[in-house]
Parts: sequence; C-alpha cells; structure tokens
Amino acid sequence: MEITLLFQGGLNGVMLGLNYALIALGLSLIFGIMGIVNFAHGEMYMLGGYVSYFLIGRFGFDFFTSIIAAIVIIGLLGMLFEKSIFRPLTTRPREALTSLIAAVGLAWVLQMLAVICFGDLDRNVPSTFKGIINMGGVVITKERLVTIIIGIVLVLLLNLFLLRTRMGNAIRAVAQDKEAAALQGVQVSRISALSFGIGCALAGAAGALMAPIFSVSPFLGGEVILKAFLVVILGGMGSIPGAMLGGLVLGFIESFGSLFFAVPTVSAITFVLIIVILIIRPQGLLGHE
Amino acid sequence: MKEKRMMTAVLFFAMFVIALLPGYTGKAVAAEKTLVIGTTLPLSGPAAGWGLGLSRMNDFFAEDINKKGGLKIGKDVYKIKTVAYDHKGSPSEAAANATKLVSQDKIKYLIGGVIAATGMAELPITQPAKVVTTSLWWGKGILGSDKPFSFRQTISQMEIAPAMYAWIKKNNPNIKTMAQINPNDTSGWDTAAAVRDAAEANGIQVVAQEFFERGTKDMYPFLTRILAKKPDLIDVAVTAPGDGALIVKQLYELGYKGAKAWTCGTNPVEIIKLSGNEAAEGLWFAYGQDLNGTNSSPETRALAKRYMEKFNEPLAPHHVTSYAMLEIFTQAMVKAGTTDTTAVSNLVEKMKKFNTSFGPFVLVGKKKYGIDRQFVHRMMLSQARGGKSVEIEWLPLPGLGLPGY
Repeated sequence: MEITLLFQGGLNGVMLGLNYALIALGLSLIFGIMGIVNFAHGEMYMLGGYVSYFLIGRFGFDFFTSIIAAIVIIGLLGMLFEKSIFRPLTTRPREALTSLIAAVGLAWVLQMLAVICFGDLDRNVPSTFKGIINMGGVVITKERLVTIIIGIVLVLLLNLFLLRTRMGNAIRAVAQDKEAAALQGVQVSRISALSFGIGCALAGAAGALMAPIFSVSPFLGGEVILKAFLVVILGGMGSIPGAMLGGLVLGFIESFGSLFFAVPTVSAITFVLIIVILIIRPQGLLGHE
Repeated sequence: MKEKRMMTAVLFFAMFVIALLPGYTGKAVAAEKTLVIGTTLPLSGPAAGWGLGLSRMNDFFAEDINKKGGLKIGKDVYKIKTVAYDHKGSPSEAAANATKLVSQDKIKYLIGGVIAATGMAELPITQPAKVVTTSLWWGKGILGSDKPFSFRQTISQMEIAPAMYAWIKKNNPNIKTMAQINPNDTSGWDTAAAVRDAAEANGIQVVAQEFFERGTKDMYPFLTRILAKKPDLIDVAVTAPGDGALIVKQLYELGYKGAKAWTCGTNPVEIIKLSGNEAAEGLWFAYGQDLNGTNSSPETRALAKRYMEKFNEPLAPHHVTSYAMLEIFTQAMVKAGTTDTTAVSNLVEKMKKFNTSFGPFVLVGKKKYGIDRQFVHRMMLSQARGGKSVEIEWLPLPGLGLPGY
C-alpha cells in the first residue's frame, strides 16, 4: 500500500477521532459529575449545528462568532435543562432511571421541535475556509484543518479550566465525592448546573464546528449519540482524558480499518476490539475501578 | 333541581352523539364515501428528500379531486382522504405502519413507497390483504407473479442502469473503470448487482464496490480506499440525497476529478445545493427532468409551481410519479365501477398504456418479472453544470419502443 494512503488514513483518523472526542467529552463530564446518562447530548450537537447554520448561512456572521455563540447559547440551554428537568429528579427514588428516561424524552422533544422549526431536509452551511491543501498526495480541506486546530484548542482550554481554576477544582471535587465536596463548602447544585452547561456547550461547539463540513439536519443527534456512548464507555465513564483517548482510538480504528476492509467489516472489527478492550479493562482505557 | 341537571346532561349527551354521527347533515343524502389513500415513507432522516414529496403529491391529488366534488365510482361519490406515516427508513417501523394502515385505517391503496428494505417488510402485510402498493422500491423481490398487487411506479435500477451505462459508454468511450457506492441494505445490494451487470455489459470494469451505513457523515475513510483504485467513474447509485450529496462533496475535497454518476439521481436541484456547485460539476443524474422546462407537460409545470409556492422547495421528477399513479388507478376505478383491488389491478394490466400529468406510462415486465407490474415512463438524463441541472437527452428505456420486456 502506498505511503500517502497511510498518511491520508492517519489524517482522516485525527479528524474522525477529534469529532468523536469533542462530542463525547461533554457526555463524560455530565456523567462524571451528575451520574446522568444524557441521551439528549446528541441534540445539543444538532442545535449547535443550527446555530452555525443561521449565523453563517442566514445572517452572514463569521465562523468564529458562530462557534462562540453556539458555546454560549447551548451552554445556557444546558443549564436551563439541568435546573428544570434533571435537578428535581435528584430527590426522587430511582434517580438514575428517571433521569435516563427524562433525557430520552428531552431528546425526542428537541428533535421534533427542530423538525417543526427548521424542516426535515438537510441544510448546507456555507464554507468559510475554502480550498484544499495537498501535501504530496495527502489532502485536507482548510475547513477541516481549522476545525482540528479549534477542536484541540477547546480541549486544552477545558483541561486548563479543570486543572487550574477554582471552579475546575470544585468540579473535580464533586466528581470524586459529592458529599465531601459539600462539606468543604462547595455548592454542589451550582457546580452541577455549571458542569451540565459546559458539557452541552462542548457538544454545541462540536456541532457548530462540523456543520460546514457535514451539513445539518434535525436527525443529526440520533446519528452521533451512539458513537459518543461508544467513546465514553471505551475511554472510561466520567474520564475526560479517557473520552479524548477513546475518541482518537475509535477514529483511528475506523479510518485505518477502512483502508483495508469494507465498511460493514470495519464496523464489526470495531465492536469486537471494543469488547476485547472492555474484557481486559472493564472500567475503560482510563476509567477508575 | 336534580332532575333538571339530569335533563341537561341527557340533552348535551344527545347533541354530542348526533354531532358524531358520520355524514349527518340534517337531511337525507346520497351515500358519500371516502377513499383512503395511505402511504408509509421516510418523512424524516437522510431519505426525507425522497419521502416528503411523494406524500405531498398524494395530498395534492386528494385536494384536486375533492375540489371537483369527488370521484364518481359506480353509483357512489368518493372523497379522497390521505394518511401518511413516517418509517424513517426503518423496515420494522415500516411493517408496523403497514399493519396500522391495513387494520386500522382500512386502506386498499398504498401509494408511493420508497427504500426497498421497507418494501420487503411491508409486502407480507399488504399482499394477503389485497392492498395495491405502488412504489419506488428498488429491489428484485418487489415484483412477481406471487405479488399481484405490487406495482412499481417508476423505473428501477434494472431498467435505468443498462440504459444509463449504454449512454455513458457511447458518449464517453474513455471511461474504462468505475466504482460504485451504495447503502448497506436491500436497495443497495440489488442496485449494486444491476449497476455491475450494466457496467460490465458495456465493457466498464468495476474496480470497487462499497456499502456504507445510511446516516454516515464522514465518508473520508472508505472514499480514500476507493480513490486509491483510480476509477474513471464513480456512481453513487441508490444513495439517498442527504448521504449522496456528502459523498459528492467529500470526493471533490479528496481531489477526485473523474466522472460522476447517480443512477438513482433524484432531486438534482437539492443535491447540487447540498454538495456545492463545484463539487457537483459534471455529475450525471438519471432523473434529471426539469419540471419547469419545455420538456415537461403543462400539468407537470403547474404541479412544480404549486409545490414551490406551498413548500418553498423544488419538486423532483420521481415525486410526480405518485400523482400519476393516482391518476391511473382512479381512472381504472371509474372505468371498472369499483374500488375492488383485484378488479382494478386486472383492468390496469389490461389497459397497459396511460397518459398522465407526468407524461406517458406503459405497464411492462412479464418477461423479466413474470407479470406486468413495472411502470415505465420517460427519463431525462441531465448533468450538473455551473450550479444547474442541465437536461441532455431522454434515456432509451424498455417498453417505450425497445424490446426485452
């Protein structure tokens, strides 16, 4: 096999992996802090895409403004959902199950609202960074390159926030032990809301980043959520570095696998590999036992 | 006081019951009946571009007939009511919808199915109930003498592929190799076989054949492998509009400069918009008729204009086949004097040739499928040029003057 093909596969894997990781990061954060399996996470990604569609496509704003807007709007929406839907359920019996059902219901409602408001068909988001870079036969669009760079910046900013700020320390404390954190004076409900908002904001940012590359539709959420869960389970539930690593691992398996095998075979190989990894490390690659 | 309340309640109840009595007008009327036309389609998801227009054409037809006072079949006048359920491309949902349509809505005519895997799930429910289905289900198992109520309302891959590849080879003799990309389901597998046969019959070698899961967004991984085989032509075959537009766009991004074809190329306008003018440049569409152009009948142009005014979306050629089917079958019902599906199907088979708003239709298929249940109509090959779909010529199709069927 030609060496350029392998390099192309590697580059494809970075793009694919980063896409998966960005969506999964928020999901992992929400689960880690609140123990909620947020089935509506894919819809946050979808809504982020529509923020991009309207701001760039309809109102002529630039790409970076649309990313910031998606982060803010979807983040605030996430906080609203946490306060109004998920927080009241924390005092109910069988909290995990009721939260899961609420998340599924929220996903359906958001999808149907998107259909009603935006229509059923796929929508194209104009490309801001036109052109293709050809590096000796290995190609990448400028759009994808910018997306990779911004994606990496977002992940670094998230890590900086979690590791170097008071709020980030508080979030990590709550993730480790809610009660102990409360005893130390951490306002758990405020941290939960913030974490949910950040998690949703990340999904919204991913949606806004990917919208010019993949187009948007109300059903985008359902298409990405399965991969997001795979990444979170592979990386370790509640582990941020795990979500990053899981995304990249999945991206590279699919990308390199597709160079040699047909798509259905690659899907089967992917699932088998994930099962093998989970048998060896049931907590995921970087999860805690 | 208690008695007064009781009387009031009884009075209200009586009014309620009277209001519910079907067809009550306060005077003696002739029996006005309702003909329910059902459909189950992908009204959401990547294939919604196929399904929505088909469903809306049923609604348009119902509006048109009801505006004229209904359909006189035998002694009765029928108003048309349409029912549509979304199967999202899922065979299990399609089967559930078909069961609902047959047992609850009591439909006898199901017009406009699409995605063959859903058709295979619906036929075991509709056939025993003698429900006429007219569909765009592209698959070998859809028609047969064991399925006398299953009609295909438009050309399938079995008819398009030979005609399209004969045209491609004749006009582009430099094309020696091709790759095709299809969804990983019945429609995809059957189309892959038909396209392969057609390509090889015209001396074009198939160097790659790929199946992908519907809804995939990043096609780079498998497109990279296909491009390594350096095909002269890539056909996105029976891929749905949303997925296919992404493939076309990503092929362009990966630097592909060869020929492109779409055997099931419906909605050219929508596809060019989704994939981008530059990416779509040169793409051949088998369903490329310009419904607003001079090659379309005045009736088709009127439907296209009405659809755009109502939905702010372009009508696609394959959508209009549903309207044509309703014209054909209601014509047969009127002639037969009944809505009975056996009598109507037999009459349609006997009539064979029809003039519709979409143009002439011919019912063929005895040689290939064992029964005449394949409708053939004119197909315009078009090409994306400068952001527009430009008509090239009518494809020579069986039944319209050619032998073989």
